[in-house]
Amino acid sequence: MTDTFRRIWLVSRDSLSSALHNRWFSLSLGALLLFVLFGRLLSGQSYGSSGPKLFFDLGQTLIRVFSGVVLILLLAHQFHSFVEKRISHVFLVRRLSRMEFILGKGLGVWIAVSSVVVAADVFHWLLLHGQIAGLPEGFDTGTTLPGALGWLQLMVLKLVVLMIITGMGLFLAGLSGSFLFTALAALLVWSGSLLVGEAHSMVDAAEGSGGYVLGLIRFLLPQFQTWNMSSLIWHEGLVSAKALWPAGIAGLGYTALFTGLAVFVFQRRDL
Amino acid sequence: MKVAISTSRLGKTFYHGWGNSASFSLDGISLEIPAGETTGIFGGNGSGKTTLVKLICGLIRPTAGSVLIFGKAPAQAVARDAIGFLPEKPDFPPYLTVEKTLRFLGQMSGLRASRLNDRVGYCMEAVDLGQQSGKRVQTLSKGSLQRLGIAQALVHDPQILLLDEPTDGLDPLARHRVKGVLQNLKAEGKTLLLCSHYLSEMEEFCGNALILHEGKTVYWGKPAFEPDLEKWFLRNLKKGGEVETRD
Repeated sequence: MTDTFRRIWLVSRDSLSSALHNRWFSLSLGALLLFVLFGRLLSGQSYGSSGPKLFFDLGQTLIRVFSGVVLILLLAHQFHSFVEKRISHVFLVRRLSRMEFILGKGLGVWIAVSSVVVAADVFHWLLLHGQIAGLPEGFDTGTTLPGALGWLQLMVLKLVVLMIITGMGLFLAGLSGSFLFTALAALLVWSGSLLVGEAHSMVDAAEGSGGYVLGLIRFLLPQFQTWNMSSLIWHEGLVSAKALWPAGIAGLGYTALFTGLAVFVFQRRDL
Repeated sequence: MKVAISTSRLGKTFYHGWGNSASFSLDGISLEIPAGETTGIFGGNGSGKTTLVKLICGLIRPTAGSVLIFGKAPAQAVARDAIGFLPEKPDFPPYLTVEKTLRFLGQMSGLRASRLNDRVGYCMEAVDLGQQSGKRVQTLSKGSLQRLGIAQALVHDPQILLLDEPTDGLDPLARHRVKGVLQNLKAEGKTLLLCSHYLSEMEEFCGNALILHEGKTVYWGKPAFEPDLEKWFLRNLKKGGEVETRD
C-alpha cells in the first residue's frame, strides 16, 4: 500500500512539474489575477456600497469559471501528450498500474490548479477588504463579511468542484486521447450541468420526452450549483457544517465515480 | 535451459472505433526464448512486431493465448522487475534532465537511495551519456534520446531487455554507438529481444530469429546465415506459415 501511494505521489509530482513548465499555465495564472483586478476596477467607487458585493460576485465567478477551464485544458493536454506520444509506456512498463498512473496524473493537475485558486482567492480577499476599507464612513454594505473561515469554506467548495471536474476530465480523456475531444466534451458537460442546474424550474415544468431527457441529464450530471454557496457565505459569513458535509461527501462520491470509470476505460482500451 | 519468455498461441485482435470493426494483429504465436540469448524479431511494417513486444511487456492484454516471463504473468511485480523496455520512438517528459529522467523512472521501478544513485550513474556511463547528464530531454539529439531510452530500460537492472527498433532512423555514428551498447549488454548475459528492420543487425547480434508476416510466424529458429540476407528473408516470407524449429 505504501508503495502504491509512493508511486501515485511520484506521478502527481511529475504532473505538477509538467504544469509548472507549461508556459500557458503560467500565463493563465497571471491572467486570472489580472481578471480579478479588472473586477475590482469595474466595481469601483461609482457603485457605492453595492461595489463590494459586485466585486465579490464577479471575482468568485471569474475564479470559479477560469480555474475550471484551465483545469480541463491542462488535463486534456497532459493526457494527449502522454497517450499520443506513448510517454506513458515507459511509466506503465514498470510496477506502476494504470490506476496509479491515472490517480497520480489527476492529483498533480488538481494540485496545480488548486494552487492557482488559492492564490487568486487570497488576492481577491485582499482587494475586497481594501475596497471596503476605502469606502467613506457611513456606507453600510448591509452584509456580514466572510471572515477567514468563510473564505476557507469558499476555497474548499471550489476545490471540491475542481476535483469533480478532474474526475470527469479523466473519464473523457479515456474515451479518446484527442486533446480537442477531451477539452470540448468536458467543457460541454460542465457548462451543460451548470445550465440544467440553473434552469431547474424549466426542467421541472417540461413535459413529455423533453422533460424526461432533461430530468435524466439532471440525474446523471453533477449539479455544480450545489457547491456554489458564495451568496450564502456573503450574507451569513459562514456555511453550517450541516450543509457543508453533504456537499463535500457528494463531491467525493462524484469524483470517485468518474475516476473509477476512467480507470475502467483506460484498462479496457489498453491506453 | 532456463526459459526467459514463453508465449503460447498468443493472439491480439484490435477493435477500431465505436462500430468495433476488428483487425488481427497477431495470431497463434508460440515461442520459448532462453535466458541469456539474443533474439531478433523481423518483419515488414504492420507485421505485428511491436504488438508482440507490447504483449510481452504487459502493456496490452492478449485476446488469445498467454505470455509468461520466467513463469510469471507480465502483470506481476516480479515479471515487471525482470523487464526493461525501449519503445519504438522513445519520448520522455521534455522538462526533465537526463539524470532526473533516469532517477524518476528508477524510483518508479522501486529503487531507493544509494542503489538508485549507483544505477543512474552506471546507466549514464553505459550508454555514454555521462557528459550530458544535466541536459534537458528536449535538447537531446535523436541518437542521445535513443541512448537515454536504453538507459531507462536498464536502470532497474532487468534480466530481459525488449528493444523496439533501437537503431531506427539514426545516423551511422549514432547507430555505431547504440550497437556498442547492445554488444556490451549481450556480453553481460542479458536476454535481448530486438525488433529491427535491419537484417545485418540480426547477423551481428541474434542467436535466434523470429520472422513475422501479417501477424503470423513464418520462421522461428537459428538464422541461416547466407551471403544475401535479403534473399534469405524473402524466401522465408514466401514459405508462408511453415515454421522451422530451432537446432
